[in-house]
Amino acid sequence: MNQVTSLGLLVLVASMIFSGISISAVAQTDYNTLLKIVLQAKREVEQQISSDTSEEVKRLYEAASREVVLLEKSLESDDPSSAKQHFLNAMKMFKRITQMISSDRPTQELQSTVAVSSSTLQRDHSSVLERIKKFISTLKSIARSQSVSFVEADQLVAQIAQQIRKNDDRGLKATLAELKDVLADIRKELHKLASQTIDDRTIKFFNDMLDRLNKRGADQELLSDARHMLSDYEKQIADGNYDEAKELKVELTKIIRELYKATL
Amino acid sequence: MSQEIIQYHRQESIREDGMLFVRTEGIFPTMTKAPILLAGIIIVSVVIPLQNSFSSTRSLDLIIYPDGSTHVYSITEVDSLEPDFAVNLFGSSIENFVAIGENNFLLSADLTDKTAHVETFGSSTISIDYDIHDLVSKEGRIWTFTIVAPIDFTLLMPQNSVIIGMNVLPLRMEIIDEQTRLFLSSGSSEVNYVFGTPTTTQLSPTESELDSLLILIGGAVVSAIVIGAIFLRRSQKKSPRIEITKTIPETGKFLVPETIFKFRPDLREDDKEIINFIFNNGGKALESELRKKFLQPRTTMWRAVKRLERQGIVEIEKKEMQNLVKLKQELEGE
Repeated sequence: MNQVTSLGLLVLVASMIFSGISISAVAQTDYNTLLKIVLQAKREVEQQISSDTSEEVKRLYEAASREVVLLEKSLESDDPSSAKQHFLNAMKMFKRITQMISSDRPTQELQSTVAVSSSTLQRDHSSVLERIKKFISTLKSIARSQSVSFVEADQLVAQIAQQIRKNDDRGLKATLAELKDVLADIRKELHKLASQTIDDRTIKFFNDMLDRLNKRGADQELLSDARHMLSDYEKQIADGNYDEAKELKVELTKIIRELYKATL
Repeated sequence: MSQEIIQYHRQESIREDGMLFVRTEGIFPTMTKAPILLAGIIIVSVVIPLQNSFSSTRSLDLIIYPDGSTHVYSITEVDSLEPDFAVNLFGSSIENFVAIGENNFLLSADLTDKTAHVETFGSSTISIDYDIHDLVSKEGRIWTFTIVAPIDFTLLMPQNSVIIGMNVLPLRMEIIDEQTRLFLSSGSSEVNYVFGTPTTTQLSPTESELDSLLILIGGAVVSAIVIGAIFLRRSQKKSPRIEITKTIPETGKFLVPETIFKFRPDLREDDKEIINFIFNNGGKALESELRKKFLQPRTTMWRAVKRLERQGIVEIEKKEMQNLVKLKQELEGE
């Protein structure tokens, strides 16, 4: 028996120690990541540098490249504090170089304005579509067990994707507006379907809390008020007087919070 | 061996009339009862995470979209004895806010400025989803993401973005479907990124030009084939329909609800009622009549009619500035 108990204790202690270690391990930086990020930034900046680039930018790029080499060396020699410093220095310089190149090329930027704006527009639309898809998938996860139809929303999403591909801005605007309405309706429907359960849960929560507060010796006068208010709330819900019920819920919540805090 | 020790102490305690005499090496097994100790450790190990869990964010995941808007998804442990919980948001320009309780239960929430008051009513875990426009700003080519995060978090960067500046050390990085996911520490973080130059620019100019030309030619050929096929198909489809329109008398046939419901099983109940009404009304009805019949606002009915039109069930005709909704003669796509 003692052996079993000792083993149990050992396992518990070991699990507590190891769980602590794993948490701190997650918070450790993977230093190879730093090199990957820096090299990506270097490649990007390298492509922006041309014979027209100012000497100042070129000098800064050389300094940044040196920081990248030093970062590699720090990683090889397993020196994290030095690696950290070289990473931050390099990234600061790459940001500065990009800023300088952007401001050095106003005319070139102007020349490509049309292309940029069109691609930006495409990007904006695709972002809207991505956001909507994410929102729909969240709503679907809520509606999993309920009879809410997403057929129309899915059709409109497909239509939007097509309109984005065809650059049909006018059609896209109309479809987006329509989809917005459809999603608002779905959301209302979900709230409607959930409202019955919400009311039940709210009443159960208040009842449980009042019992618990009573056991904790909460102020009896306030408790009695709260009980009356709760029965009134249930009545208003049953009668479909939702505005009154909402007001009562707010008041009841305040009282219960006050009582709960007083008994802590 | 252990059995002998236990018996020995029991005998000793009985003999000394309540006085306990033990040898020093026997103190631990006698004075500290192992099961109690075990129970104590179990309670401690359970209580420690519970203490941490009250009103604390458990996870935080962010996705930056190409237009700089950001999706926030967080899971928060809340006090189940509190009726509601105030969630601090990362800004005030919020869209698509959804709060979900345990078992995917939709929770009511009021948004005020940078706070969401969620009615938890007994939930101990809530998950929050929303889109926000306050976390990313743009200057020239450079996009800057800034946040003060309460816990360590993940950040999924947009496709084709390249990080060109950072004021913190990332914990980790991984690539998911050509997108970079960063694992960052709590506290203040700033990430600067640009949308990268397409990879084709890495090729030599001749290779690149050759590829572009090949792509252009290939694209043109494919487009021509596709357009030709579409025209051919449309012309094949259209001709018999024109004949039907001509041969059908004005009192003509139209789709019966049973057929429609058979081929369109996903129809909404309210749409089915509209179809039944139009059918009983001689196969056509003005949109205003439908509104009156079903007591629906203009936009709702318009959407319902457009929905039916999209599914090839009805067609809409303009009649004296009004929409005349007619059941089709045949179901499109069947």
